Amino acid sequence: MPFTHVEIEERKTRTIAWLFFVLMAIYVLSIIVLVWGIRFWLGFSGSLEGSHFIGALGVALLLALFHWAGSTHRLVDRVLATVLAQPADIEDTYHKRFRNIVEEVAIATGGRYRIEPHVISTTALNACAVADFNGRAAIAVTEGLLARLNRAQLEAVVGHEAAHIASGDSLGSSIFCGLFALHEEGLKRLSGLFSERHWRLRGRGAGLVLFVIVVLWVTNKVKRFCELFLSRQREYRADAVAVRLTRNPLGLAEALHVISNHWRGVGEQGESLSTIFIMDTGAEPLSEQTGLTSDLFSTHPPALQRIAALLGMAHIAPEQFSKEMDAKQRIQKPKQLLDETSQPAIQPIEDARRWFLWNRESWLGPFGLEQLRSRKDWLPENWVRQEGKDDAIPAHQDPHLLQLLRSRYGADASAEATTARECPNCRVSLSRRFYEGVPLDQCPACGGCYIKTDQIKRVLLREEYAFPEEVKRLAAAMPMVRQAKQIARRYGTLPYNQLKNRQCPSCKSAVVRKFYTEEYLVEVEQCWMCGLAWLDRLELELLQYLYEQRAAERKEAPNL
Amino acid sequence: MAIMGFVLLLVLVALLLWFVGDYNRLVRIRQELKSAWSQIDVQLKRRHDLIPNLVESVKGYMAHEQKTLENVIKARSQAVNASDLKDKAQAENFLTQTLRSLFAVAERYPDLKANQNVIALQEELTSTENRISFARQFYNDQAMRLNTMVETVPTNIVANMTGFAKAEFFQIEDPGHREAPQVKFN
Repeated sequence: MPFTHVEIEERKTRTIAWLFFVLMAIYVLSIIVLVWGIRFWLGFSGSLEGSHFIGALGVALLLALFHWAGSTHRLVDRVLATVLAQPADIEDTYHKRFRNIVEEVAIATGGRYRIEPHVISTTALNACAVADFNGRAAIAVTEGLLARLNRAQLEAVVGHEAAHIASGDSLGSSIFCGLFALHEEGLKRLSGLFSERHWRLRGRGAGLVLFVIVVLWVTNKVKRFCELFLSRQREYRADAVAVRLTRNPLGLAEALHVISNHWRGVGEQGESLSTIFIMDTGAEPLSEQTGLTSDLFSTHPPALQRIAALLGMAHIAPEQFSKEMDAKQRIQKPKQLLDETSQPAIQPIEDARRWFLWNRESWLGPFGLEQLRSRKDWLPENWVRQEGKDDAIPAHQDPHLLQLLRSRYGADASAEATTARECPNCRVSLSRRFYEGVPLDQCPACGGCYIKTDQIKRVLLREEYAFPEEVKRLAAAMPMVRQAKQIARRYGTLPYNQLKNRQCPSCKSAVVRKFYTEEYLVEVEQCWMCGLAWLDRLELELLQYLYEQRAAERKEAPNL
Repeated sequence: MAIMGFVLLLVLVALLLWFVGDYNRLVRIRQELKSAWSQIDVQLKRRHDLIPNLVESVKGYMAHEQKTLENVIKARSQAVNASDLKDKAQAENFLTQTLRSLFAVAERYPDLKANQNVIALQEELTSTENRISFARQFYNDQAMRLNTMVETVPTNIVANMTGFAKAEFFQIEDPGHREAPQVKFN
């Protein structure tokens, strides 16, 4: 392997210098041609005179300079915003692992780079790297990638991206994307003029615009070819450097195999940034052709070739590898139920009042507080009636009983910590728990939980736990998707209603009860503004179960 | 005569430039070696700091595994007190082994495995182990480069004149690592 870090550094300087030169040449050429065209339009004819040539060059360089300053300003932030990446969550265990891996790999590069870890909230599998001239660098991976890859595989992917950063590829791509954004923007605007049904431009004006469009289009294509050609070569090299960093060719081969067998798209915006991703972001099947034409027209080399090269390093036959990968089943750990609670030790409480308890059929009791507390069927939402009085209330509405309930659940040893929020139904303090690596605030009494909408997505993707029988029964009783679609068609939207006496605990906005989506008809109570959702007991698992069922169905019928 | 003098001058200048260039490369590698070593130190310290927390949180669950826990604590204090490079490497390898056996034992306690605190600590320790091995890898790569330069012609002339010595490798003396690698898919 020829790449020591010093060699990478030296090559990086050389490549960037080259790239810069070629780019500037294309840029200046395009400007000169434009100036010549405008001059012709204004009525001059004949060849360019010296003064005009120098003037055009000056204009071109000045434009380039301004544009350069503009396009490199906050470049990393802008690219990350384009692919909708967010900084990795500190509390989420999957994100924590990713943060750790990024730091590990940064150490393997000799600690020269501070790399910021970012996560793209999508189910697709892909990863990208960006860097700018101020030495800022970031690696962004998708939620899907975090959920599907194991530690070694993720480390290999991060190694690949770190290799792009170390060898200056990310910088080069960023320059490409930044510098020619003006051309692309101009092209888009000007072609807009012609897309109307009636041409708004006629005569010589139209001729000029057409001319400008042709120049911009040709420049764009030339730039695109340069970019694609470089991009293909760089992927092999980044793979090789990644292996040098992590010493794990098999991990990278496995990761590429997994990524190439899943959806890799990151949205329309991401499409134009395809070169900075580890694999092509297009919707088409991966291009597996080789030769000059595919070198010119596709952003990434064939996945099979990349995998074959890596397997060569690991001394493994490709047939054996694909057999092992096909046979591999995800190991499901034994289920840890979300609503497991342990009964804490009981402390005596002095209160002379006695209460009747409604158990859905008849009034039981009367019970003293101590008896009430030790009854397992006494929950915060049960109705109670004080002895000698007629009016019944839910247990949590009496301040003394609420205190009793809180002390009963507060000492729950299995929770991480109690939080400041309280259950909207039981009024009991919620406890902080982790489900599928996601932190959520769960009610120890009724098992419901507060969870943010983007965190629900993460839970759906991850598969640490198996489902209890109860969830499967609930799923079988779910309304059909077809029915829901009929309803939605009739009313224009799925029904929802605002909950009058409820407030979002985080932003104090209104809360509505609605279905999660048209496909997944689980009721959630969601904040109108910030999207914080309350899910009742087992609803989160139900949603996850339905999602996996749907994914399995799709896998069986891939042509639909 | 004047031409001869000019050529001689050119040769001298070229020699000087070559000398300076090589010397600067040697110095740069030595600096990287130093920073890599301090990185290893930082990560080892991080591991030493994590272990008391780990022992504290598993103690309640593993009342019957006193010996394993004591081993870990003993290995840690040995590693903290080790002074020279060889002792240090040995003590750290011992610590790695005892930690490995601790986690192997922990597999038998489902409550422990479900404890979020322990899961988080285990992740931190795994990450620290990786950082140590990556830092060591980088250190050894740089040491190899320095040694190659010190031993090969012509850089050895510069190295000898300016007193550059060969660097010591950070060795792994864990017999498990010497065995033939096995391929695992998991």
